[in-house]
Amino acid sequence: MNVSTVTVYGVIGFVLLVSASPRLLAQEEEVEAQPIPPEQGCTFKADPSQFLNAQSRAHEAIHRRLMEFPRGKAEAARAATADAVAIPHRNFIDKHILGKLEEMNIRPARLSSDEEFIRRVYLDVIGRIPSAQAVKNFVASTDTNKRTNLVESLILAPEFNDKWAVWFQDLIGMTENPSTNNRRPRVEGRNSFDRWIREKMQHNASMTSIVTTVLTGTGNNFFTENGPANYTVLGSVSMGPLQDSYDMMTVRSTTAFLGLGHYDCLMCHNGRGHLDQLSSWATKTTRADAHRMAAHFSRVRFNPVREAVQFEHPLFNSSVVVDNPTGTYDLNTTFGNRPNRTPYGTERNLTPEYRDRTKATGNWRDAFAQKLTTDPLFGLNFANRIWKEFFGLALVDPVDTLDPDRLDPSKPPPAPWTLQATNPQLLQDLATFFVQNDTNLREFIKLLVLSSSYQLSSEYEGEWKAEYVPLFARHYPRRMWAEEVHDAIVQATGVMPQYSWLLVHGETVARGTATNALPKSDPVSWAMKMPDVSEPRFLNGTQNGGATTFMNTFNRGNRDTARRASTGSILQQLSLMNDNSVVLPKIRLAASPNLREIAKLTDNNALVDEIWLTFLSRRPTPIERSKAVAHLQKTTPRNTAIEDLAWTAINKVDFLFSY
Amino acid sequence: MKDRFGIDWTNIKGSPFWARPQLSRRLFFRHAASAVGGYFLLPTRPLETVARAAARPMATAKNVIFVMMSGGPSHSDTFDLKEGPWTPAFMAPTSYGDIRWPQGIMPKLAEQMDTIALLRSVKSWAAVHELARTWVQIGRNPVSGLAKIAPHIGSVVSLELGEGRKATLPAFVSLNTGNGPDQGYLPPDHAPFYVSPAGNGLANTRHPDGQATFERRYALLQDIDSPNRGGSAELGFSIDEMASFNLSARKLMYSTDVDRVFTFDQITRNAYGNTGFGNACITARNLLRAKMGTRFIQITIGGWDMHANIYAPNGGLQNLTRQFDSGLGALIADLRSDGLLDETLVIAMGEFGRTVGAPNGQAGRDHFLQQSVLMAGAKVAGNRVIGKTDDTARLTTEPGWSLDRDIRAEDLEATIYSALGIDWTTVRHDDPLGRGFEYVPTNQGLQYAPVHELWG
Repeated sequence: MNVSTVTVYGVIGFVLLVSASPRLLAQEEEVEAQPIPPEQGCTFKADPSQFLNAQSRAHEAIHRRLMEFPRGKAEAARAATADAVAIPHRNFIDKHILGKLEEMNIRPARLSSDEEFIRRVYLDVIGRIPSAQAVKNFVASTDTNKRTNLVESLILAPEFNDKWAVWFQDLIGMTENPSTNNRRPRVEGRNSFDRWIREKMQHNASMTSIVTTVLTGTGNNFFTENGPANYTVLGSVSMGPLQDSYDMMTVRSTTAFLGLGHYDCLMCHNGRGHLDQLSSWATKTTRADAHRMAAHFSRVRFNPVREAVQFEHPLFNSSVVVDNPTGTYDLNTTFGNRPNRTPYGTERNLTPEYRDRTKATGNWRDAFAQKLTTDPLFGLNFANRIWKEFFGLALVDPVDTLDPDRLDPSKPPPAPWTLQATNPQLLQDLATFFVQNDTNLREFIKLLVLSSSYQLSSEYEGEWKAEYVPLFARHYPRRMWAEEVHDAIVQATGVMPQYSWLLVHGETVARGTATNALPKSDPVSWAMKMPDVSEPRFLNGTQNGGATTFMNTFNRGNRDTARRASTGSILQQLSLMNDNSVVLPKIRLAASPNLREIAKLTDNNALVDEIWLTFLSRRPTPIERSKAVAHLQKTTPRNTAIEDLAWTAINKVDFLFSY
Repeated sequence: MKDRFGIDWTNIKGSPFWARPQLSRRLFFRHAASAVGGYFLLPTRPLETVARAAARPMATAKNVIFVMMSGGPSHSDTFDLKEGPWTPAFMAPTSYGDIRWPQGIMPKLAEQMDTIALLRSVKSWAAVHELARTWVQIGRNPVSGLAKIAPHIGSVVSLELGEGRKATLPAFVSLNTGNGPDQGYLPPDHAPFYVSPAGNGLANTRHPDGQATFERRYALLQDIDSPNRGGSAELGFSIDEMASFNLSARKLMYSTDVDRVFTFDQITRNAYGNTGFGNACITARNLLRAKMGTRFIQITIGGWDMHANIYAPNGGLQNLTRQFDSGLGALIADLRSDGLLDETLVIAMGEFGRTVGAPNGQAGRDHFLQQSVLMAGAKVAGNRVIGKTDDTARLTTEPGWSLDRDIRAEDLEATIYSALGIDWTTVRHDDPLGRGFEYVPTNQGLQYAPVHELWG
């Protein structure tokens, strides 16, 4: 590194797609080379919703949320906590969680009630709340196997595909217009990728096969059959040489699929001197090692479609992803988003080498996919991430900071390092189970939710201590996703909105076409079916941003500059109380078939029970029931009182949580 | 306090050698060069040291109005007017002292020229819309260095100056914006509060089924849900997030004070141009008048991306500047008569400028790095220009400020912080990366600094 790079600002002509403007495809764009010193800051992608980094701080956040989500929402009096011994061990998870609590002589929470369980498992597995009838049937059933049977049916429900497609899209940051990209999926690419992901979920594809296909996708990203090609498109970086894109593709892949977010740091500088306190593995890893990983992507090219360089062509702004037969990762950059790449000794052009020093043969992306999906970190990463979805806190949290040197309980790292996971053997066994079961999402989720550990109550009557957090001595409530909140309102009221999304982006159709006249999807009522967090754009066939605003308020993020977050806000409260597109129109008796059905009940107690079962998936507490009945008695007309109760149910604290 | 390498930096930071904002280029590079060798061993980087010692905020402003001219306005037709055979007569170039100004398309701002300073030596890093737009709003490169956790400048202002939940309205209000950078890793209280004001009140602060119905429902909710709200005090935490957010939300509803901010009549609308932008400007004025906690207001006005037919009569530039000028001109005039202008920094800028000289083949102008920025208020010296460009506004010929180079988005970020009395060299240590978050980046190879020349 010499000082001269600091002084040189060359203006570099750079071919970029600037799609917002009606012009030729290959538009000359000026991009200034930003001077970059070798100490360019670390950019590893932390989860911005995680305020603090250290695992202990993640625990603190959970602890805080426990305090924020108050108790007293479920049925009254029952055993407050249980003897860990008294709770059946259903699979190896319980050995690690309940067994450890026994050893430490800490009482876990009691097992969840049927009502608590059915709502939690519906939301966590398929993203919907159960119908009132489903709750009643489940509670009434005397089948000793009923929880297992319920789980078996949920993982086969079509809603499962939608929730886990959205989860996967969040994981890889799939959206139509990422702001810092050079190439973008656009509406068409996003739709084709979305359709492909949902199909894979429906076909019960293994994570190995899904990840392999997205890592190696080729072809025009607009075409339905080329959905996975959009993954590579998402890794294209503007304002820099191609190497910046190779780096980004690698960083996105190692972060999402291996939990190795530190590659983002390593693409700029060696680990030593930077990551010494964070990762034993990264401390030993050099920038050259990271570049050799990135070299797997160094033959990726985006070809413009020659005949589609003009606005109004259906393929305008599409990208054809191809693998060049030749090419290397060249150490010759003098501008861009990362420090200059200069030769390592006499090495000027790198060929790919995986992090275990395996050299790539054949197609380099194929080789990378093969290595990545058989990397021990692959199973550990997915086990850790999926665990977090169900238990509220990962075993290594943040999830993108895995340290390969500190995960194997049979080979603990030398002092002062310690094993990274709060329960190292559990994480290891989970990863083993995941890999041995063909990296199958459904099998793994079944394992998690059938454990007694998952089925503990979130109520804890004894003295709760912050130290208990990593032990999972109770269940941790989670705020529902924006889509889940929306769909819960639809489910409870039975009012089906007619949403549709864009099928093409505006530049591919005749200029002057009104947005309302653009091709759009068939109507769909559920938020979890939207192909992107920018949808739905249309309600009843015309442009309407009501549902989009509502869900943005509930922090679904944009998968780009703002990631999904689980925090409350003033705007959320205003929306729940007064929103006139998603909330209020659905709780009017004139609109809601479910409420009209409930209104037929003449017995006030039964009516209140039914409202609670419909909106909150449980019967009211005696106090809630008496207050609600009193409201029915004193308010006329009766239908108004019923609407008041529906509004109250939606605005209750527990409506917003899976607990 | 010793760092993790056992070095105590307290006496090393801010030596007299560096303790001035106007570091000369030579000294700066000598310093940078001396630092390169030992760089990786240093826990606190030397550039950070340079900047830390230099911070003396102007502290003339309490509020900021940041007008995001989305799309990239043509600087050579507006804030850095250069005439040519292409200049249409309706632009009516006029001199105000040394300032050449298109009086024909921006007459109201012309009347406020004695409060306006124009920065002409400004240069964008990138001519790509979304990227550059994010850049100016977070004050750093969106594809590197902390960008993934970086808050919007307004969120930092909210963190520094906001009154938190005591205030009725959020500290950072973003008008007509809809989407963009958010609070990053900062707590959600500092998120941009998005409003698209139409003058008929704040959205969702009135119950669609009527106030009586609302009061009945709210009472029922309080009655039934009270055990769930704040029932956790025995566990040692008195703060109940839900109850807190809900109570704040309730405060905004049926509030005469809030209504007064977000409701306005046709006469006022007309005075501000009767456009979406005009409505946002009225709301900004009302927000500052109301003093209900709002400190940073972003107003977004899109449509500047004029690749074709920029001079179309009553279209293109003429149409958009009419909206811009009517709204912002009236806003500055009103703030001035209220006395609020002296404590409010107004900034209007795009993400980049546009090509100069003769228009392109489609009678438009394309993306260009050189740009200009308008500032006013906060005791900024008016009727002034910082920096000069060549005869077509293609390149800076005189930077006109201490660092003697083009002004960058990061420098403007530092200027905003300085105006507000915020130490722009602040490094927070609560970021999720555990590496320290600098308000203004110090790791980009340039030292960034506020343009204090604006004040004197």
